[in-house]
Amino acid sequence: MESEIAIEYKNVTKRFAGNQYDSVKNVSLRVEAGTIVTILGTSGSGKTTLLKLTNRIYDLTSGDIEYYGQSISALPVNEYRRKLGYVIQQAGLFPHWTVAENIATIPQMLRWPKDKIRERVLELMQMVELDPDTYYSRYPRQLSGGQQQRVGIARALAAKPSVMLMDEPFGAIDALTRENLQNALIKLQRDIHNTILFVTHDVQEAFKLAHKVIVMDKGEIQQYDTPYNIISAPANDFVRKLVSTGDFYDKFRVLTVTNLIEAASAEEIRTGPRISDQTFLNDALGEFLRRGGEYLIVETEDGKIRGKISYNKIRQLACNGVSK
Amino acid sequence: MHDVLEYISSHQSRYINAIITHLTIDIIALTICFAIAIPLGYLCAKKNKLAIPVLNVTNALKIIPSVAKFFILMPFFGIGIVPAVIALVILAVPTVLINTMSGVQGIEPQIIESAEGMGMSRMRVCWFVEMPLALPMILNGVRMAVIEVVAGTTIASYIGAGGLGDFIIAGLSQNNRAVMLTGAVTVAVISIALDIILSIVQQRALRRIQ
Ligand SMILES: Nc1ncnc2c1ncn2[C@@H]1O[C@H](COP(=O)(O)OP(=O)(O)O)[C@@H](O)[C@H]1O
Ligand SMILES: [Mg+2]
Repeated sequence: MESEIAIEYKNVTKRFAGNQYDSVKNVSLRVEAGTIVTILGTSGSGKTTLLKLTNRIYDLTSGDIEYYGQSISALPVNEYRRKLGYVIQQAGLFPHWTVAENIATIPQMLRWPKDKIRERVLELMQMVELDPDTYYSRYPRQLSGGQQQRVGIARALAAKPSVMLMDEPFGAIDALTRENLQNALIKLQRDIHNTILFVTHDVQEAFKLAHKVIVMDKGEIQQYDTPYNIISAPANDFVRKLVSTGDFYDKFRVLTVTNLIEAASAEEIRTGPRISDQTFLNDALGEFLRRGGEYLIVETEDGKIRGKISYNKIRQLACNGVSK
Repeated sequence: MHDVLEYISSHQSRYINAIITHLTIDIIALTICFAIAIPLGYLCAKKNKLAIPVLNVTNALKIIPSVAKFFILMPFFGIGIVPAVIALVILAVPTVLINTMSGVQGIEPQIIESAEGMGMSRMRVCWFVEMPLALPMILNGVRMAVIEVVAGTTIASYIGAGGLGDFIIAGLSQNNRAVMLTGAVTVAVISIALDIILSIVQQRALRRIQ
């Protein structure tokens, strides 16, 4: 079944005035609705430019971008942007507004009635796991970096955008908090099935979050595929180098168990030990070494069973995966 | 000091009229100054092409001490209230303009980027985001401009604008300390009072955004 396309890039090229090179070069790809697509690349590879072309902060040099089949250049710019959530590093919250006022930015612009706004703000604060009793009337300066980023995400989600654009949103956040935010984002996306374009230079983050990863270098797409396919068949040397640090465990560090899930029988589900579907394979491997056994039952953060992961599958990946 | 109070009580209506005239000139000059300097300062912060020529002119004006500036302007605008107001506006515009400009330029770019990225119109970004965030700096300029204008109006008495400067001129020419001090002390008190009030307002604005 062909799924709906949320965003389509058609030969998209961007060259900034005064530059001798294209910051984004001849990019063509489709982003399926309801998926998380991460844009991975080193600094200066054109990730931010691609994202800012998508919400028309930058104008295209050539090519076209379509939003649900419509050329974005034909849409009124501010109305179009309100259909996209936009979250950047450091959140960019308004320091003179409370958490609630920040989250209400777009509903306010759309002139929603007051009680509907309030209701939505409370709902969003629950969604990003910020206690309204404590944080509703706080100012951004009174929050930690991680909490500010949660507000940033809630603000972007306020008017139920079908597409979220996120530019290294967790880049300036400590490792542990970042992991919490990543898990919260995955859970949230599963609940509301929106489309997310997520820029990062962190390989683990890109592979953990994504249904599909766009690997970029020098403005060009190097590979656009599922995490598993990229690991098992890197398209070229650049991708191979980016995803590997050279040791045997590389692929286990970037792939989560999600990539190797198999169907589990009722009996297995009843008796098998549980593991989160956000677990990287190296941690799952550790679990096998510790416990013994042939399989682990994979569940989501909120306890839904997704299937099982078997020791054999991990072994197979170790034996034939990367070296094709 | 006793002489001063005595002089004031025996010339009450003249004293009050002088204060009213003085403050009226100040208010008119400051209102015109803000109406020019704040929008222009905002535009300069946004458009480099505009900023360079405007800054050249304002910097040139800033090099000249304010009192000297006042007398230089006199021959061009003649005497009376209108030329006094024009001179005072020219005196105060650079301060407010430069402060507005640096206030707007000092806003974190991420804040503006996410505002625009969310689909806020330029007008909204300006009014709801940039102006409140630049306000403490704008008020800093306003505070300095108020002091400059209140002091400048004293000198405006020399070109027949009236106001508290009249006492100073009269006192000096008659060699009467009480009359001169009446003007000087009142101007000083007004300046200090306004400065205190404005610094409180500025602190409040600052606390809101930090
Ligand atoms: N506004 C701009 N003007 C000129 N060049 C730019 C601009 N923005 C980005 N670039 C250039 O485009 C290239 C890609 O930048 P960017 O998209 O920010 O990379 P990334 O987000 O992957 O780090 C870089 O070489 C950068 O210098
Ligand atoms: Mg970037």
